[in-house]
Amino acid sequence: MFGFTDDMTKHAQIVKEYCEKWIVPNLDEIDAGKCCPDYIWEEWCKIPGYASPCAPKFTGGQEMPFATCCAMWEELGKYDLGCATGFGSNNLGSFPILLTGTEDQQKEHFGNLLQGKFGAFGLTEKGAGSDAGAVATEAVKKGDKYILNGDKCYITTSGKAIDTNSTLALCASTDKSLGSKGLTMFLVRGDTPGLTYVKEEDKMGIRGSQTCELHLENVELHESRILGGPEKGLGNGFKTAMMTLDAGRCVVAAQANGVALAVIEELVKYCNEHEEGGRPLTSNNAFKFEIASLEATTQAARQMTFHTALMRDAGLNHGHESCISKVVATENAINCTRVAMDIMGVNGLKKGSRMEKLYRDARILAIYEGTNQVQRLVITNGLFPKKKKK
Amino acid sequence: MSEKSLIQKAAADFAVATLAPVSFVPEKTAEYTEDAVKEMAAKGFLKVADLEEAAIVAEEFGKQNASMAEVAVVANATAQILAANNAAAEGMTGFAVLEEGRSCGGVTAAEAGGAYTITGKKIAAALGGAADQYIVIATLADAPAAFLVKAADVKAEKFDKLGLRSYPTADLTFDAAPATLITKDGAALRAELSATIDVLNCFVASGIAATCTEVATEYSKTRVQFGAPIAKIPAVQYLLAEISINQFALKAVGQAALAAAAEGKSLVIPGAKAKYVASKASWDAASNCVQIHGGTGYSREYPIERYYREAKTLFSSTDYIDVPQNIVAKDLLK
Repeated sequence: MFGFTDDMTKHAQIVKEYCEKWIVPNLDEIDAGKCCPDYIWEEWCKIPGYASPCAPKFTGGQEMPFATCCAMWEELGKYDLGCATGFGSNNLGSFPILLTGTEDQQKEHFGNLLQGKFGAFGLTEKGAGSDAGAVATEAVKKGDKYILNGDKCYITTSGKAIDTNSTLALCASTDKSLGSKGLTMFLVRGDTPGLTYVKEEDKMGIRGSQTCELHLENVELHESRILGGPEKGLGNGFKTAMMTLDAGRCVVAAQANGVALAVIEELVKYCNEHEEGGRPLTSNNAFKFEIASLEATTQAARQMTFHTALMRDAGLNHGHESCISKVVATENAINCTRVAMDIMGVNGLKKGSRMEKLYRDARILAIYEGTNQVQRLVITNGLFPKKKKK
Repeated sequence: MSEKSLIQKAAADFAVATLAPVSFVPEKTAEYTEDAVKEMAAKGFLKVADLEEAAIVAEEFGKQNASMAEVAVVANATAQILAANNAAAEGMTGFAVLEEGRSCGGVTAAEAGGAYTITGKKIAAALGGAADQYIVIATLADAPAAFLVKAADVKAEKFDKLGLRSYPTADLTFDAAPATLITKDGAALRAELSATIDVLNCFVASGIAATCTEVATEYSKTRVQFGAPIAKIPAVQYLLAEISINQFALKAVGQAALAAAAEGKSLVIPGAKAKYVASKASWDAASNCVQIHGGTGYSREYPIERYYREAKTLFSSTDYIDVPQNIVAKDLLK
């Protein structure tokens, strides 16, 4: 049976106190923009190690356990999924560098992040969403350099990374004939000529998270900018991206559980504060049973998610469990918002209410970090492995 | 062409020509498109002959602009209810029932010399701020009664919401506002009016789901992933099929309820049953449409996310508290 460690409890509490002080009073401002206001991010970065909790100790970071990070992101997700997504860019979005970057690359990248800058991880393109292997951005070798051309979309906090001259991990094809095995990850500095962001997305929800479209035009990079170095990193991009997503999906599950917990909190509050026919709603066990069902599925999703996180911390293969956690937790969170709206009616619909925002925010959960259809594809691949040719 | 077909064509043509152009930006900015509503009224779409015609209008408008469809739904439903209660009203009539902290009961009516006044506050009144008068449920001698109150005698404060943002809703404050009694059986009128709106909303939802079917089918034929249009992927085909099936269900439950009305029966029970099915079917259809579109479905640059907000708002915005299960269970156990 899973239970929070002291470390997880401590950090969840720190996040809660931060959110109560900085996120709750400013939710309207966060929701009105396209990115978390700088002062809210700056306050987050003042907490030691929080600018990038996964940053290795040799880079000056805290190297927090993955399960602790999940506990933190569950708490952040409870208060604002947008901020959780944006802040997560410096955690999850750094996994390609953490997993395959050279020591120098890690020092450079995490050095930026620990100064309070945002990083970014760029894989998705207009033609390469669920089909991540179809990356069209091309990196053509010229001597000891690569020239990158192409476009990326839906890249979290990438505009901030460019504006502050931080570092971005971007995936490009170095050999189109090899398909996904010809993809390579590059560590790109924000001020590299030719790298620009062309627009900030205007999204239904998670508006505390900046999402940008990137344009790469003759971006010239020395081969030493290949993640892991040219010998190890060339053609390793897809594998790195998939390993990153193994972790990312579990973090998204944790965030989703935070959303579900927030919905349940709102429902309990609503039933305590409202009456019908002179009797409190709490006297109606039909409503209470609906909430009990949400609580049951949410606690099950949490157990599953933290089980997966502990598997990762134990060095066990967890890709399958990560996908399962993501499917169960995200679909539960979305369903929680649907049921809550049925119970709360106009009280949930009102602009400026927490529930209205939760409904809009939650819907992204089944889309990003691989749609839930892609998760099911990975799960079925595990159940029906391809037979080896004799 | 039958009379119904002519009405359907007129509603469809009007929706494409007049309502579609004001569906996107005004909804994003919560702007009430008054000119479009005036045209709807001028063409007779806000005072149709019967519920069957109201349903046709609701569905055709719902395909192009659900906010304006909801304006027509409330205007037509209130007109039908007023006619059934032999009450006369000019222009567009809204509906005020909900209150802060409870569904009803805190707004009171007082009688003096045969004249009535109303005091208190209603939240999220249908057509709030746009109607010429409102049907108001208020407590008279410890029981809910229904009154007609002129808009000029009420203070309206805009109530912005998740979806259908061009469809006006407002909190209404009554300070001894003069009122005309419609019926002392306010509970019955409230139940019938809410059920009528719910049934017509099945057709608005059917319209939204029809559009979801159309745009998701087109998108899946043109969106290429894994070397082929995503329409070739069985899992995507299932999502698409479910949108269409839900659209079929929405129309079917709406029509089943209308059939009861055509026989002169109350809409309360069939309306509750229809709402129970429609609330989930409408949401499922819109949610699948978002899922097929992926990131595009979540962007405010396209209308897909709007369908998702509208699908949920439709069945929660007017009178929600007496959930369908309550109504049906009470009927079974009476």
